Amino acid sequence: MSTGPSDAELIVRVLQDDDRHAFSELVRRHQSSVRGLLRRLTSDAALADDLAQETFIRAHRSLAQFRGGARLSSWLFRIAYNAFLAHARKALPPLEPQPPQHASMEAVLAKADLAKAMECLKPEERAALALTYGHEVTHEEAAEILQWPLGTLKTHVLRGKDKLRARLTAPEVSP
Amino acid sequence: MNDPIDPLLDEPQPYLEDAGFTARVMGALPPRRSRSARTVVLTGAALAATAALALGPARSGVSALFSGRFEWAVLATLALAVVVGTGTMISAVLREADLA
Repeated sequence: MSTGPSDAELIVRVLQDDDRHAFSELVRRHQSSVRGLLRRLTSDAALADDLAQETFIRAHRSLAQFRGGARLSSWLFRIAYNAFLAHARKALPPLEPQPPQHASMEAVLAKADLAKAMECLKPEERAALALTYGHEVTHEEAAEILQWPLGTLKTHVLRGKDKLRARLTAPEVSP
Repeated sequence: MNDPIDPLLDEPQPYLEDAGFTARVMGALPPRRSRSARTVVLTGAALAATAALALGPARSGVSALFSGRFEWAVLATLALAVVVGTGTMISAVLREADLA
């Protein structure tokens, strides 16, 4: 089965010849994971796609700075996170998390509006959870992508999960 | 005991169809570097450098050669001017052919 040129080969073609076809192939390969990460971070598909577009444009501009030893997806995730963070600092006031409540597993699953619950998290907590769950990224890789110490990453994961648990198990508020 | 949050977070992310996303990114990229403009600049620079050398040190070298006041240093400058100018022009032409 032919898999086509590797990411590294495509990057060389972009850098040497400004090969737009090679860059479009890179975008096609990684668009789903980058857009998916940003959708988890923003809980807004349209905004996520705007930030993903910005991510790939920045990547094209800075491709010469990509170190071949790292995975391209990790490098793109870092650019995506920085784009999200810049947007979040301008636009997203953090919501106050609900106080912790006790609830059954069924209650948690019944209120599994995870995307909405993610909105109560700080950008750093969202990023830690979005990367470490569902993207096959280890804690070590996530810490490198976010350029945090490993301990900081784990702290954000724990705090994020605590807040999600509180949010998802809080009783419904009657209008 | 398992954390009830884990299954929610662990849900595999579905593949997102491209749906024109790549085309939008490619349309938003800055225009390509112009090959022709680059070649014109390189060739022009080579010609200017050659002309500058020919009107300066090389000219005095040729006149010195014919007047019998031959100096090796001046001849070397003349040779260098020819080599640099020719080399730069060949490089520009080869680069253009490689990119085409």
